[in-house]
Amino acid sequence: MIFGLWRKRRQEQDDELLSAYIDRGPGGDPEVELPERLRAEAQEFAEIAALMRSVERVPAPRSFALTPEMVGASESPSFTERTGWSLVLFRAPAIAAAAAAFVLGLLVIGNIAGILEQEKASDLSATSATGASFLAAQADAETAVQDQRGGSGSAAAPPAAAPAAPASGATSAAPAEATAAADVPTAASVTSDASTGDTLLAAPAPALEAPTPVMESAVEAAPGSSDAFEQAGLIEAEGTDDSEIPLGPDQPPESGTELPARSGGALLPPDEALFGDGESTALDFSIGAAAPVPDDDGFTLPLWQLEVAFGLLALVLGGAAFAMKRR
Amino acid sequence: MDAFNQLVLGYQDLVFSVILRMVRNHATAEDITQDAFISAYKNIGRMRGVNFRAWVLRIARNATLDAIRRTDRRPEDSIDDQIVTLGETLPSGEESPEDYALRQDLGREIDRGLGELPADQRMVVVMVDVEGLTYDEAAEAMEVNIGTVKSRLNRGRRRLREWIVANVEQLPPQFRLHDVDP
Repeated sequence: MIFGLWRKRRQEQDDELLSAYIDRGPGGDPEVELPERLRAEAQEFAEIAALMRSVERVPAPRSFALTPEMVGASESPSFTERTGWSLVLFRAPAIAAAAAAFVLGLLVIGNIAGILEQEKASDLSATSATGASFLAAQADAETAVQDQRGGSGSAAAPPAAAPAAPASGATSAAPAEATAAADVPTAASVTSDASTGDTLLAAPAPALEAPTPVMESAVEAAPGSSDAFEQAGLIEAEGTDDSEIPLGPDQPPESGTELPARSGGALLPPDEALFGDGESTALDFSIGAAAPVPDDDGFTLPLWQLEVAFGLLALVLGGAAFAMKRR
Repeated sequence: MDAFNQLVLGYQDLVFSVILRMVRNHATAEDITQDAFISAYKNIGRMRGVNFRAWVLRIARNATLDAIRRTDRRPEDSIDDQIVTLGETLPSGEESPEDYALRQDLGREIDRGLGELPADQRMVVVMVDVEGLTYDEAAEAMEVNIGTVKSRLNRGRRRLREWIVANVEQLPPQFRLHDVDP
């Protein structure tokens, strides 16, 4: 191997010397010192080079000048020759690819920063088809509650929740149905101010379906009914019947009505018994899992699906732009 | 296009001559030459920092090698088997008929010798020794470095010498190499 490298190096040196010798013509370059072994070969090379130079150039048999027909058929303006709308259209795939890559970058950064959160698969299946109707129904329900509060005064408590409505029904409710069901703000938290006796809706609740007969029978059989309260002695039995504890949309509560506290199916004593005077407690009237809503931590999105989609889009558009530029 | 055609008219003899000595067939050389100039026109925007002669010869070389490869895949169409008449030019007014005949013999014999060289050596010998390109231009046209050009050139000359030694009787007397023992 070493011998091979040495021989190659020596051949390169010989080529340099021979070229330098021959470049000055048949007589050679007198300033070039040729080794003895190369002199005969250099002389022959010089004569061959002179022989080659004596060969005449063959003239072109015709003119090869171009005509528009030769290049016009397949000619299209190059990437740098386009202007105006032509340039914009030609660069549209590149612009779209850049936009897709930008959105992908925003999604990734939002994910890393915690602004965006991955939506759960169950949430995705429930909301993907009716995400827009869910938001519209939520807005309608909030408007209806505000109207109701405005009509009965700020001290009037909204109707209590009707329990046991399925969560999927909440998310699939159409806006029209949601308006009707807005009279039943079933979800969520109702804040009971123990000092004033007022009950205020703390947060807008997603619209739910109107209670069905099955639901109403379930309410009566539930341990939170007024009979159970009486038996437990947690509230006074006299003068307290179902009409005084509003459970449905047709029975709006009067001001100062105490609501039974219920958590996880267990009966709780009134506010005074638990917290004493002047303390507030949030009463959870949630009925099952609510639909996903943007929480305080960030927006919930099908992140990885969007990232894959925008990534593929950027790749395809980028490839198309590259192909168009190559043409 | 008019400006480009000025370049075409200035270099078409060089390009055609190089291509003809490579493919050794007039019709094929004409086609390749025309295609090379069309390709040069379409890609003129990519010519940056290169002189036009080397650049157009690079396009011609690539087109020529493509044609040679296609021919190699179809031996029945071998251009080497066709009649080769490369050096037949009209006699000048000052040239005697004997000199003209001698020149034609020389051109024919040298072309036969060039035909014995491999394509890469033949290309560099034609470019440098016959057409007078500099090493730099030949290196640009062939997309190799100067050392490779010199190496290929000397190997081609060595092969040509061997061919001449073997065919010395066919060369005109004044063009026979000195000190060559057949």
